[in-house]
Amino acid sequence: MPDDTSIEVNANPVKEFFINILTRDVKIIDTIPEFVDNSIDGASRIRDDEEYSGLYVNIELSEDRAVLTDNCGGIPRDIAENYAFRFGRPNEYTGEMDSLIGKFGVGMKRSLFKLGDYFLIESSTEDNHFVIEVDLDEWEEHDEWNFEMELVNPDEDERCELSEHGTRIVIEELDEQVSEKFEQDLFISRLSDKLTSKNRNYLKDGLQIILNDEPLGYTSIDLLKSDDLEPAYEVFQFEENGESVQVEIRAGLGESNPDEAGWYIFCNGRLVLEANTEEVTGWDGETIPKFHGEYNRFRGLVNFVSDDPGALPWNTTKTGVNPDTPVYQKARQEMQSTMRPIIDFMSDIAEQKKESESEEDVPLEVEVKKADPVDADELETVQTSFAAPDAEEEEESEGPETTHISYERPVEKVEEIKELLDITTNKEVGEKTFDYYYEFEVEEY
Amino acid sequence: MGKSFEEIDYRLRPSKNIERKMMTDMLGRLTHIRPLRDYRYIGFGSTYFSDHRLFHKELGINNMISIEQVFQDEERFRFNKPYDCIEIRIGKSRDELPELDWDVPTILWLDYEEKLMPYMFKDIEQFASSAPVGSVLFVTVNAQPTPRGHLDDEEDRLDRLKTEIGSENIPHGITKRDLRKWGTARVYRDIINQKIETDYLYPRNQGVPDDEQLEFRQLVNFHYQDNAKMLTVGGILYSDHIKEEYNNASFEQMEFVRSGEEEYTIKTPKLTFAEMRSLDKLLPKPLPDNEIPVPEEDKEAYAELYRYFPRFSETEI
Repeated sequence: MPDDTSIEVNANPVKEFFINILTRDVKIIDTIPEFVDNSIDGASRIRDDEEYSGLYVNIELSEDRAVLTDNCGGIPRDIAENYAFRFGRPNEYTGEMDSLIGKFGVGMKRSLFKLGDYFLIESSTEDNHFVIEVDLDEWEEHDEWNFEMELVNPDEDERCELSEHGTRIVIEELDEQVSEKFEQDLFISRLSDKLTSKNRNYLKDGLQIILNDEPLGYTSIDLLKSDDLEPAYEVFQFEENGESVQVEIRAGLGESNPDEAGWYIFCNGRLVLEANTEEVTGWDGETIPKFHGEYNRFRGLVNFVSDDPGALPWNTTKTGVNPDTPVYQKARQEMQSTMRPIIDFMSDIAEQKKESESEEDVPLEVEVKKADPVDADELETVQTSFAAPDAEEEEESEGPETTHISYERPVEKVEEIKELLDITTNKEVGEKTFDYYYEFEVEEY
Repeated sequence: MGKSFEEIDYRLRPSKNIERKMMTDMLGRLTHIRPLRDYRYIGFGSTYFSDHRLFHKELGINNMISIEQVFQDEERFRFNKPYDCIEIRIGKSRDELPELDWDVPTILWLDYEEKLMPYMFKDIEQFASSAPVGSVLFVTVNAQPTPRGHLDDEEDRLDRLKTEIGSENIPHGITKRDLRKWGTARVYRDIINQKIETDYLYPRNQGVPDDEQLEFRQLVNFHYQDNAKMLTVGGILYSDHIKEEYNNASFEQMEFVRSGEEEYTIKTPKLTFAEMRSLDKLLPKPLPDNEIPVPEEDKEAYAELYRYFPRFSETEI
């Protein structure tokens, strides 16, 4: 006959196992963005115009503790009770871990478990002020799976520090590895890079994210645009089972850079894949060639937007896409057809380069360099295919037929001319002196 | 105009010469940790083999490797090899270093002439992830700040540094102001040390018993300028396993040893032989006011490193 004590004894290994499974594959660097996501959820609840100025997330990481404070409106009580800190019912545990956890807030719970053995969450909304304080060692001992939410009077409870509506998360008794990482300046700067690229769109819309006293800046992804060079823009609506996802694709050329080339995939504005050049974003070696140095200028952005986050093609950690979802399959096909002409154009440049004997930019490159970088988010949202200068035209449009002149003159004199004309190469000396003679002795008459 | 002696200085590189001798002096103390003959020296000997010569003669190291990447000059390198015990390997350091046996206690001097570049991390990684405890690494890089004229519009030095070595390799908290003058050298030192600790030793130490946990104890942090601003940062792979031996070596007693961010600047006053001889007679005691007609700061600089100071003269050996 089961009594209370025996249940308490049993709870421990199950919970320990549960936490273990839940945190096993989570990287430390991926935990902090989860909390920031929670803040952003809050921000979008209180501001529906995508304008976040005045809102901040302040992150302080040290050897002893992690503290995240925001003024993004706090976690409403019903969300906290029903989603954010709920674990389903352990009594019906049948070995299927996924069924134990809700679709929402998994990331945050997992991150709390991953980082330390003690955490405190304080939330202040228009309607109430609550504190959740958990010591994991104690929690593991109890049969109860939910975390206790205490509605508090902030003026009387000394654990409360929030002065605005927002959320404060404190994690202590950090795991040893976590504590070591938080001490590393390189870890902090990598986390800063990650938060910057992941939350690019929110930073642009005015949200302030501060990591160890340093505010993160917005960095745009630029596409080149000129009269002859036009990035592609495409948008379509995908409906399935009553869920609707809008898919926006932008693609074109950017600066030649192997680290930045590739696809950037966003889900509701959050970056889930960055500069990807693998099969998952269409570089399959069949329809589209495998990524290669000659495509260093390629840039593509896809944003999946839906009111229902569950309909988005991201994985549970929001660190990648789920390539098997129909919406992603469809998008990938569109991405491939969008990138086709861009790939062809870059191949044309490579071809021209191969044929060219000079070190100078080939005609197509010259055209590309004339274009201006434009923030991809600022592009007009009108369906446009990629447009680029025509390879053959550029070759022909080089002007009148030219010929090569080669001659020798004393170095000293050539150097004198270079200095006088402020130029550096022999070739320029030849051209300038030729043009000078032509202008005054031929054209004048 | 002092153009001509500046040029002579550049060719003879007095600071480099002093640096090499200070290193030799310091490396001699490794004998407290392991017999010096057990060490292997790896360097970039070029056609001069200056460090190989010195370390062989002064320290008795026989196991020596010189890596050279200019294969066209292979014959010349071999011709100039001063001792038979030097093995010349032709190739890039990042290709050659992984080919070596890393169970051997090693002194590695990555004596680059360029500014810090990502390929150097590969070389440093090879050392930090596999050299045995007691091994010593020196890294020399050009730390001249990027001239303003070389920066693109709206680009600052920090942007440039990010492009050159990747933002993931730049520790949190560095600003563009930190890169002015000798700041670039300070930032480079920080980057090299943090890369070693965070990216190479931290993973290497996972699951390793406490007394075998490796750390990189910095020993030198030289700034010098024969022509461009140069940085040499170096240190030893330490674990508590060699605590006593390390303490006996008393590296910190040497006036040029630096364990932190403070640098030791090698200053080379330009003195005549007569001036040096007169000063020598008063040393090593602190120099009192004396009649030698040399600026005070030159006297002080000389007093600090006279034991290592080169006497260049024209000669045919």
